[in-house]
Amino acid sequence: MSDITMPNVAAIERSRHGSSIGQPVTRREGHLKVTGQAGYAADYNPPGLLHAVMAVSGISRGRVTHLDVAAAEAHPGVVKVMTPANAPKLAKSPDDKDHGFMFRMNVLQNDSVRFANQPIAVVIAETLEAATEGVALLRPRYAEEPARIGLDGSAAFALQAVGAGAPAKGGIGDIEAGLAEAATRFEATYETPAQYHNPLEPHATVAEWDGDKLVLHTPSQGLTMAQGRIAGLFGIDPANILIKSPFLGGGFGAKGLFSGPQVLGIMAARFVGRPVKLVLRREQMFGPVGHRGETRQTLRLGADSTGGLTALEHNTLTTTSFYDDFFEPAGTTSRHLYASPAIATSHEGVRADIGTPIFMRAPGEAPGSAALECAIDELAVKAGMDPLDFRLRNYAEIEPITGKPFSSKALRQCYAQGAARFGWASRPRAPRQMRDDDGLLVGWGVGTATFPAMIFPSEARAVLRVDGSARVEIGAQDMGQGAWTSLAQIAADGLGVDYDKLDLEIGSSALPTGGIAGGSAGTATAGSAIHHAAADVIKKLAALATSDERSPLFGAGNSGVVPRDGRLVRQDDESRGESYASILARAGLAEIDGKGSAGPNPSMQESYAMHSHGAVFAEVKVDPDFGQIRVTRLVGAFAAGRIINPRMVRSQYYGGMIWGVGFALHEHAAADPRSGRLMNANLAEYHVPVNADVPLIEAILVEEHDPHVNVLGLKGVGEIGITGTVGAIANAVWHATGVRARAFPITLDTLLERPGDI
Amino acid sequence: MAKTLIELTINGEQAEALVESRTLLIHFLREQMNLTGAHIGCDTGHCGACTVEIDGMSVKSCMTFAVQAAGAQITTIEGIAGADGTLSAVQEGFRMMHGLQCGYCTPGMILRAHRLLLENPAPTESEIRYGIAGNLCRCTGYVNIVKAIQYAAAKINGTPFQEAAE
Amino acid sequence: MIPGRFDYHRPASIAEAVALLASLGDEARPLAGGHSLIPLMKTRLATPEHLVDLGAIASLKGIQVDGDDIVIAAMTTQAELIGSALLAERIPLLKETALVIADPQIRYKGTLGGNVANGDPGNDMPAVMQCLDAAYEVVDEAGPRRIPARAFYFGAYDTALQAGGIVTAVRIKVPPHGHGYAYEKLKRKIGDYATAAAAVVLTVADGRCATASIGLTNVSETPLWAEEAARILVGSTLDTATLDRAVAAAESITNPASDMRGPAEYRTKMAGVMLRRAIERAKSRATA
Repeated sequence: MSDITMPNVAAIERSRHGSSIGQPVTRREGHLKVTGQAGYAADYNPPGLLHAVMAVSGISRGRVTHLDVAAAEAHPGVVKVMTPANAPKLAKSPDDKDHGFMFRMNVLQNDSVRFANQPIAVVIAETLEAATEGVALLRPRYAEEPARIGLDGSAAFALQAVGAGAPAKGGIGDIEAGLAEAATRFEATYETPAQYHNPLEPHATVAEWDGDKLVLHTPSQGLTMAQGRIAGLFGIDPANILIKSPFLGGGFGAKGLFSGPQVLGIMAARFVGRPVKLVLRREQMFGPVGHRGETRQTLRLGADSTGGLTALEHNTLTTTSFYDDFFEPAGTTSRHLYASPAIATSHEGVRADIGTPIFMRAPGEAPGSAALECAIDELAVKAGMDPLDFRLRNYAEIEPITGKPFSSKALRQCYAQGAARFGWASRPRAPRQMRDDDGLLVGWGVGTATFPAMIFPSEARAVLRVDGSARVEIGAQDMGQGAWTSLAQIAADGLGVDYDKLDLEIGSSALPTGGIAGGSAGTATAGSAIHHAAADVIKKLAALATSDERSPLFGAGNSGVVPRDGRLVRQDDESRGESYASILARAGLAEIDGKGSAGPNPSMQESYAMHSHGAVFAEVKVDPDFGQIRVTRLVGAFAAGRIINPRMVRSQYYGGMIWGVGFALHEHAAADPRSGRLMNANLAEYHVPVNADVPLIEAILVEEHDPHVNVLGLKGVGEIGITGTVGAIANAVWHATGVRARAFPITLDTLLERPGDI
Repeated sequence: MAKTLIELTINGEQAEALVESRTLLIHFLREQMNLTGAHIGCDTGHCGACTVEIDGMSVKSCMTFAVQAAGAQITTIEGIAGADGTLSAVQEGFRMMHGLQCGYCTPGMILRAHRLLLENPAPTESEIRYGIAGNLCRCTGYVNIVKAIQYAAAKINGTPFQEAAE
Repeated sequence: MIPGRFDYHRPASIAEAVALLASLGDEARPLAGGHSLIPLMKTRLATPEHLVDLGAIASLKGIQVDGDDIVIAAMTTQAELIGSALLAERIPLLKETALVIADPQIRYKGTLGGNVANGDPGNDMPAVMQCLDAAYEVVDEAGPRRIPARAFYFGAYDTALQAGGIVTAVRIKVPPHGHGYAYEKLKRKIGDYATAAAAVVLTVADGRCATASIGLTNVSETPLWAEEAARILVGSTLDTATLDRAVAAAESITNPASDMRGPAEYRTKMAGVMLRRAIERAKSRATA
């Protein structure tokens, strides 16, 4: 029952007979998006709707002592104010953790304040204007306690696990011995700041209760998980919760785990007994929906006289909140990439009065590769080697530490193709050797990109109809990565139907679970389930044909039959076959359906190391008068297995690489050192990359065939673009100026106060 | 509170409504007129997702009150395509050149690009970038957005469009 | 955030606007393009109870020649300044400045009057007006008067405009034909306010600087008219040593805030760099 009608896509460029995969088809939902018809959560206006606005804390730590509820409720149009004093009781405390992958929320269960911008009340009104005014009239008062801020704001402590549950410590060999025997040693500490996802669509919820049944319009990267979380909190059956999330205005990890503000929208609807829309303001996106925690990473490296690594130690200190645990797994990057007989990685945590960090695009790998690629570069220079040659010298043919073979690794080709396109061969070794016609300093740098290839559990259903059309259903969602399109391509291929005749339904929790659109695993996850569902349909269809004397396929047996353009044909002689329509009609069936599922393969995971790889080359120009840095050229060559849609994949690489520019030069959530409040909780001062920041940029899709990683042979592309890019830019800045940046974002302040000023 | 009756034209159709003076145009369009194509991405007038046209000017509708638009001609994304649903050149450009991913910034981008090409029918790449500087995109890295506008310019002018090979 | 409640007024004439502002008192603010005021209202830094929209007043639009002066009515937008062939030919500094203000959408609505009247140290036009020795035509309860831009600014958001007064036009004596000009603005990104900016107008005769005027943006609580720095340039060949002295003089009058655009010392230094660039470009444009 789709309430989204996809218009018929006009003729699509197709060069290969029979397959949609690999075709750069235009986005299926593009028409809806360019006409303003794509419905995001906040666009939905059910009858009887009330508007809810959150009041958020102005302090980082303490208690709310007073809210002028009477003044708010007296404002015309305000219906009710929800506070800890009267908020609906939840069936389960939002602080309960059944397992490590649940995160604590702040949903008006008490008057304590745990971070600035924490929700402290919700005003519900007839209009958005009245609700907003109600919030302003609350004039909260607090009992404030001193805020503990930053990496040095409280005592560091040892960790067991980081990120999604990777061990905090991991390594092999003897670091001290490796360092002792090194011909060249290097040690440095790098710092990365707090960063916020800032998808362009703020979190929004439209919640409608009907008894114990809930219909929710809200952006979510993980519908099944969200259902489960809501069910637990409200004490209802997950089957009673319908979540619609057909379009997300970006996620980047902020919409992966269900958030406190989204729960507040549901509570508000329960509270007033009417549908409620609660939308976050941009400022409120800084705190209650997660962020990337700060890191301080210390690396110690050693290399022998041929430039071979003898030791690689990567220690990370990172922030989490005082009320929950999430630790940016920066050091895990060093476990996968460079060959070294001794590797040691560890993580420590430090608590601060902040909202709990959460997965943010390339968690771990983004800050971890930033530091690692800088350190590798610095060691290379110290060892007198070209930075690219040094990376090649330390190329890991098998996965470091585990010793597993890679399921595929076309990284050498990435280095080679990227370097050739960029023109790396003409790079002078020494810094400060290049200037342009305007006298700007020019520098070139390289960084290696890497990201694990993951897959989550998922299920799909596929239906083939006698009229030659087909439909596939899965609760996956498109946050911009292109699921509406790539999954349709995979489905069309699997079912052997024309892409135009395939109906794809995603974005609803009523559909089979699509897993999580995250970890760059969305396409592998949902695509594999769809592939298996399609295979199931074909198998059933084949059984009908091969067992029927009247079919040209009689006796061909299941394994000898393949789907092609609406027909089943013999694998050994494709001219012999029968159309789906004919098979179904003869069997007296209007349609035939199948189911499939996918998920991690433990034996595959034990046998192979599975990662996407890439190489990024950056050119920067530095204006010596201002110390202003601009990235002027970026070339990224990436190998990610099978490519479903080259246009969309390229767009993801561009987007990721531009995030890398933002990480390297712009993004920084700045907290006031006394109050802990963010000074730049808006898009005026928190600098996401703008158009003018974009350099000449190229993405090379390096061909790579992976028979092991999953049934489709594809790996993720959504996050890898950031990794490698940040380091490449930092290394290019050194090459231009001779000054090494050890803190991100790299700004003129960082450069101008270092020895050897520009 | 006292409301004002405003009359204005939206996408070629006469409209009249009672609005509070504090109601911003973006909220008027989205919540009162149910034209939800223009989006809200920020609070400070930086993201441009709310961009519409008022009397032939690209305007961030979050930075103007509905009452200020009394008597004006407004065009939103819902009014950009032809009466028979044919996509405008800019809309087609964004579709064909993958000038969008999540699509949230897209209506604002298209409204702005639409006016840009009326101001300057054959912009260079840097003129395009300068011309859409008031619109943020968090997904695409802007590359394909520029291509989309180049495609549209070529289509409008009847000049050939050559997409640079990768 | 959505602003608080206010009453909205839309007068049809300057007299009506001024009378309204006078009668409504301190709680009333004039509304020009709104792209400075409305953001302040959205953050609740400004909470006027009345807005007097100047947008319907026909006499507040237009660019006219009046003898040796050009008079630009206050509701002229930045986009209109950019599009004016008259200004491009006679006072090109204005177009050059307008092109680096904000972004295209904001330029369609932001007005010259709004940019000069509210006393925001980050606005670009005030320093340019001081550089050009412009005068603001002001109307308040007491009637019309003219205030030189160089005498208009007392502190951040503190100007010679009495409550109830509005700037109705900006009057600029057209610089001599062949003058050199430049506006150099350092900013963190397009659309940002200046980290530091410098406006320069000069004339050259027989290889020497005959006249010069310098304005600096966002390196103090008010725009700065760098009188001494300009005086140093006059009579010189605009050689490096002279520029060094002029830049030092300009830097010495700056008093910038330390903020997210950079520490104060850096911003002073950048004012000097932008001034040097502006002088050099103005020099290259000047035809003796």
